[in-house]
Amino acid sequence: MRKLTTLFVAIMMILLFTVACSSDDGNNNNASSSDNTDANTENTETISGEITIMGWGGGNELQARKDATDVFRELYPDVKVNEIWLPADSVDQKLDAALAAGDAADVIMMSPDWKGLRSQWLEDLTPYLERDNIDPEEVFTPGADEGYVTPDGVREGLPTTQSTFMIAYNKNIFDDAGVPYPTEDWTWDDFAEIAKQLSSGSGADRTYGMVRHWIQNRFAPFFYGGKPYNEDWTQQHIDDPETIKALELIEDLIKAEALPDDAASESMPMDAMFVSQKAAMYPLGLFEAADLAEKIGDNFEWGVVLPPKDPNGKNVNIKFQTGFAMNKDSENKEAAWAYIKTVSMNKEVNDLYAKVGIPALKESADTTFAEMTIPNTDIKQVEYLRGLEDAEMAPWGGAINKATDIFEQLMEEITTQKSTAKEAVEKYAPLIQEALDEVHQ
Amino acid sequence: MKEHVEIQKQTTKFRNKKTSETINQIINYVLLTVLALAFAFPFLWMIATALKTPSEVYTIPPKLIPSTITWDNFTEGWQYADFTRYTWNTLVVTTLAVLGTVFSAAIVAYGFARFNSRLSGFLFAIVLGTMMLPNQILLIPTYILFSKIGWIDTLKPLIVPSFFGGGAFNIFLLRQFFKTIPKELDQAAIIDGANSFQIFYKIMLPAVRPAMITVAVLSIAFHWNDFLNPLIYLNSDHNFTLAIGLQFFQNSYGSSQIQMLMAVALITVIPLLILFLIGQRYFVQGITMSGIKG
Amino acid sequence: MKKKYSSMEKREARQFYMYISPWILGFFIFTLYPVVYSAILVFTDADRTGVGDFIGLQNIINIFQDPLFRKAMLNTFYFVAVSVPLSLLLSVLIAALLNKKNIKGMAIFRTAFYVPFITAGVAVTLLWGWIFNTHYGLLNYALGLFGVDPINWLSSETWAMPAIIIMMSWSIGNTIIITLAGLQDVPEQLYESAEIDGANGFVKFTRITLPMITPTLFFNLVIGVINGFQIFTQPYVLTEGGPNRATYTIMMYIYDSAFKFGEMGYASTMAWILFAIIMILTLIVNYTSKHWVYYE
Repeated sequence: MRKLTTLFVAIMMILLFTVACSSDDGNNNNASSSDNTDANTENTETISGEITIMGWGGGNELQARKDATDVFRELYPDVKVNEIWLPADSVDQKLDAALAAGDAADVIMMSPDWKGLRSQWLEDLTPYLERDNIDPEEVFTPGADEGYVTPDGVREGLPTTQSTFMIAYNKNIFDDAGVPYPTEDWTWDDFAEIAKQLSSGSGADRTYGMVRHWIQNRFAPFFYGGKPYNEDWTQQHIDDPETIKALELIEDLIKAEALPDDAASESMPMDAMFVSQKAAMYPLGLFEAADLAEKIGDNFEWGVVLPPKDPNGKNVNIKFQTGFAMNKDSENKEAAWAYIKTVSMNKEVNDLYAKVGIPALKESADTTFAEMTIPNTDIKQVEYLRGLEDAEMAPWGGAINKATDIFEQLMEEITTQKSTAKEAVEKYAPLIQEALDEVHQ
Repeated sequence: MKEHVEIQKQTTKFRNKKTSETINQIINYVLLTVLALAFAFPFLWMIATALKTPSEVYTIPPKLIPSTITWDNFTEGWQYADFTRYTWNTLVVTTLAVLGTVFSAAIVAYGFARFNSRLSGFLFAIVLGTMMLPNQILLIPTYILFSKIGWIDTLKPLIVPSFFGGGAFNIFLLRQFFKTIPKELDQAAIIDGANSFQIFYKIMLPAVRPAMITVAVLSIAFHWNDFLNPLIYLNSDHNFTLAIGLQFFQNSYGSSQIQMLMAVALITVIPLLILFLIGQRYFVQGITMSGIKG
Repeated sequence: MKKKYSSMEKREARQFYMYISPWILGFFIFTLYPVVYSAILVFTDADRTGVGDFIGLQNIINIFQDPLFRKAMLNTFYFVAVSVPLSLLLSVLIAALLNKKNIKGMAIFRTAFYVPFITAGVAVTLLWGWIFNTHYGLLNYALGLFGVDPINWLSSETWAMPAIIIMMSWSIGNTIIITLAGLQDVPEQLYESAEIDGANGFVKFTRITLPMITPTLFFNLVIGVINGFQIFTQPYVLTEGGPNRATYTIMMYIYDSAFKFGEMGYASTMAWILFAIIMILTLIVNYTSKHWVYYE
């Protein structure tokens, strides 16, 4: 027993010692790295000091953001950058806590559908752009910049990357069903028809027309030219006839078992059904294209096509944007601005992004990005760039999270066949309006 | 003759008893095996997934046994992020926090189990009360607190609180076990001239050894897998723990590198399994060592 | 005599405070501020960063008119009412099995039950979806062997909560371990003397084992109630509260209010109401414990 106690104490001492040392280690590393960069005497900028940046993600995307930060370090050797990179989807609580405690990062990753926008935390970047004589229209890929400016003209961030969707289709299933491959001029009615033709079998052998991807709920209101709500987020348009018609299409596809119902889809990783040939089509985001290709391997032949058009001939597409915003309470706004500008507009940085998304910088999107093909496939990335022109900003989320939640309930009642699309809209549209009103009080 | 029948009767009775014991034993084994398989199934599935190639992870219906075995997921997965560093941090946090928990919880629980004061009932209700208020609500003010004392991005918020009672759960658990020890033992020791700390150290602690091991086992598992607290309090990659590292296999859009995730999760879980495999015999040893039951 | 008694009392009280002092210190340093902070928020319309105006009892009034709160509370009560007794029963039975003598490979068996407890997290989440899948799921496959028709576990409002409870029952490893430790406290000679009196296994279990482990059962019951009301992870990862809110629990509502909708004041109010409910139930359990918990 005494031996054990001595051992415990010894271990404890060692661990305590190393904890103390490791925090010193961190400091030493930072000190030495800034020494190194001091050697690069090309101090074209006089910006200095220290900033903290916070972002999240995984895989190649996260690596691109880290590499972009290294580019910034080279350009601004006098700025010490503290990096906080977190796993995706686990940021809400941490950021809220940091904002409440007043020690949030100077630069924070921000998407238009994320709750940071239209809040009181973020610096208006318009004066910075004007001061540096930058015209966003000239610099950015068309459509890349839209989500960051509020209807009142406040600019809350600059974009870095975006992603759009294509419809991936399993050629084998199309061939077996004798259905011709979809072409770019298809409409959502064509889509519904095709999806139904492709589904067959029952129970565990059922093959569905399309996978139920989480993006589907965001696409749905736009099928027939409708929209979920108006530009300044004050009025819902769920109960517009076009929107109802679109939701009825979903209802119809679920009933016809061309789309899996909740039971068949929710409990599987969404791409599993496509990869294992249980569904003929898949809404394929740029962000997951390379991964999906790897999972499919040589199992079957597949292709991609732009999503169907609405009755006005407009390609229905959704874009997800990611960028960076400045904390209003930042104590080093010059360095924070320099960072945001670099990761948004620097050519070298944007070329790095070309592997993980559509770069914000027009020059990089049109050259580096457009020339690449998606790894493991012969799909040209430029296809995704074409989708961006008409793409709607990913609706819901962010400041209107409560309305979003109600919309999700609405969709769930339709997809579990609890209510018809009409009934669900009648029930939930007023509640969505109420939630929107609450935000704009 | 009569005697002979009597003997025969007794042997059949004995045999019956023996066969019923054998049957019992078989039932025990069957039950244990079925239940153990059910409980360990996710673990077996983890192993299978870790050995699969990407395309096979996604077959429907899922396959338990991979057709080709690949070890790449282990090597690639480990290099995906700085898992060596995360392991070290997790080891530091777990070791220190568990030591703090086990010892301080025992001391506090002893106080609650053996000594009375006017406020002891009320104070114990507060101990339990701290478990009843949802953590989510306390998260932000607790962060503010640690931020004010400069502990953000250090391992301290994950370690130091353990030394102050080790949490209501553990205090309560050990208190229950202390209470099952007959008070006569204390009194005998007092007559022998032992003070309360000697009673605690020499009599009570050995007597509740199974419970102490239990507390250790549970808090090792808790700190090893804890995700929320490290996520909230740590910023720099070189401070992260394994639970955070595992989340990096998930990308921003919900798809993930399942097979690598499983491989690394497996590597990180195995030390705990070995520890438990070794430690579980102390559950039984507790009684024989305590020497109070005889 | 009386004076002497009270000085003994004083001495005992002094020792009491000495032993629990680590906890008292910890409470004042780490717990008190957050608790008071969240209590104050109850009377404000605080946003996600805790900033807001004083609005009196408005949050409490709103909560009692909130149908979602009612739904979430009912779901939570349903979960607790079924899962707490179920997991108590299962853990006692399994712990009793794991406490058997003369079983070869007991270390492996015990470890198997501990496994779920340490493999929690992302890895397991993915698996449960598959287990409950209607068409390809393992559970329906197993039930099918007994002639049961496939159940729509996760998309049926009737079956989603049972699915959550099944998933929860699987993670009772910690309760099993605690009960197992409790079983070690039962003196062997009690069984021996009972055997001499000719008691069979069932009698031994109900007359000796159960009464002797009541302190452990009491612990597991109280913890079961406390944790049961705060059920979050299982519905959060498995059903996200669906379908159609059938598994939406009060903790999920608190989480959504605080971190999704940014209504920290409202979330705090719900949290304190939950606190009150758990406290009252715990006090009731504690009160009854005088009649069924045996300390030596």
